[in-house]
Amino acid sequence: MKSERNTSSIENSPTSQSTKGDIIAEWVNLHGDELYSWACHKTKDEALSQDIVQDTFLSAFQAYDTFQGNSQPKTWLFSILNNKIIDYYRKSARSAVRLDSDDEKHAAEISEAAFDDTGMWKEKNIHSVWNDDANLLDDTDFQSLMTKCMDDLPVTWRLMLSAKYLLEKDSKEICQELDITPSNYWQVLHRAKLMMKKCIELHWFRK
Amino acid sequence: MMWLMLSCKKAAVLIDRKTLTRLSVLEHWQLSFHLRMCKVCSAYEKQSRAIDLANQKFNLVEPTAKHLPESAKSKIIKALNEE
Repeated sequence: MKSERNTSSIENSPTSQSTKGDIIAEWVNLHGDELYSWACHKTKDEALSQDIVQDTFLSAFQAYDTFQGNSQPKTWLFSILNNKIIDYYRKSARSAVRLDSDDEKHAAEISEAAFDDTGMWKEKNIHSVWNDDANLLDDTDFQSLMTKCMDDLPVTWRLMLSAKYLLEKDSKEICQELDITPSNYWQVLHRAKLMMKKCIELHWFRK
Repeated sequence: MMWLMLSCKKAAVLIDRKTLTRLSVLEHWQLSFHLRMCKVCSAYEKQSRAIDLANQKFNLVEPTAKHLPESAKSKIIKALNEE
C-alpha cells in the first residue's frame, strides 16, 4: 500500500502543479466578487481593494499545499484576506501616529484652531446642528454630511476612528493588533473627532 | 481647589479618552467638576458621542455587493500563471 501511494504521488506531482493554478483561477471567478466587496467595505478604497484581493490569491497560491481542504476554500480565502486587511490597518496606524507626517501638522493646527492660548474653546456658542441631538442620528442630512466628513478625514485617521467597529475589538486589543501605544491611539482619535466636529459645523445647513 | 481645575482643551481630551478607557480617579473628578461648570464642554461630550454613534452606523451597514472588474480578474489570473 505504502509504495503504491508513493508512486501515485510522484505521478501526480506535475499535474497537481498545473491544476493548482487552475483551481485558484477558478476561485478568482467564484469568490473574487465577494472578497472584493468585503475589502471595499473594510477599506472604502476600490483600487486598494483590487490590490489586496490580488495579494490574497497570490498568497493562496503559495500556501496552497498547507490548505488541506479542512475548511471551505471561501473560508480559507477570507481568512487570508482579513489578515491582509489588518496588515493594511497596521501600516496606516503606524503612519497616523508618526510625528513628522503632514497629517500630524494638520492635526496640531486643528487643535490649536479650536482652543485659545489659555485652553478655552475659541467658539463659545454651541452650533445649532447639535440642538436636536436626540434625533440627529436619524436625520438624513446629518448622515450624508457625516459621510462627507468621514471622506475628508485623512484615510489613516478614518481607520483609527473606525477601528473599534472594523476590528470589533476593545481599545487595548486594537493597540496590540495595530502595534501602537494607547496614548497614540487616544490622541489620534481625539484629533479626528475635533476635525469631524469642525467639518460638520462648517458644512451644516438646513435646506 | 486648584487641583480640580482643568482647561477646556484638557477636558476635551479626557472626554474623548473616556469613551475608550477608564479615567484615573483624579481625572474623573476633574472632568466632572469641569463639566458642571462648562456648557461648551458639556456640549462637546454630547457631540463626541454623536460622532461615535454616527460612525458606528456608518460602519455597520451591510457590505454592498460589488463586482471585481474583469480586468482585475484577468490581471490576477495572469499573475498566478507567472508564479
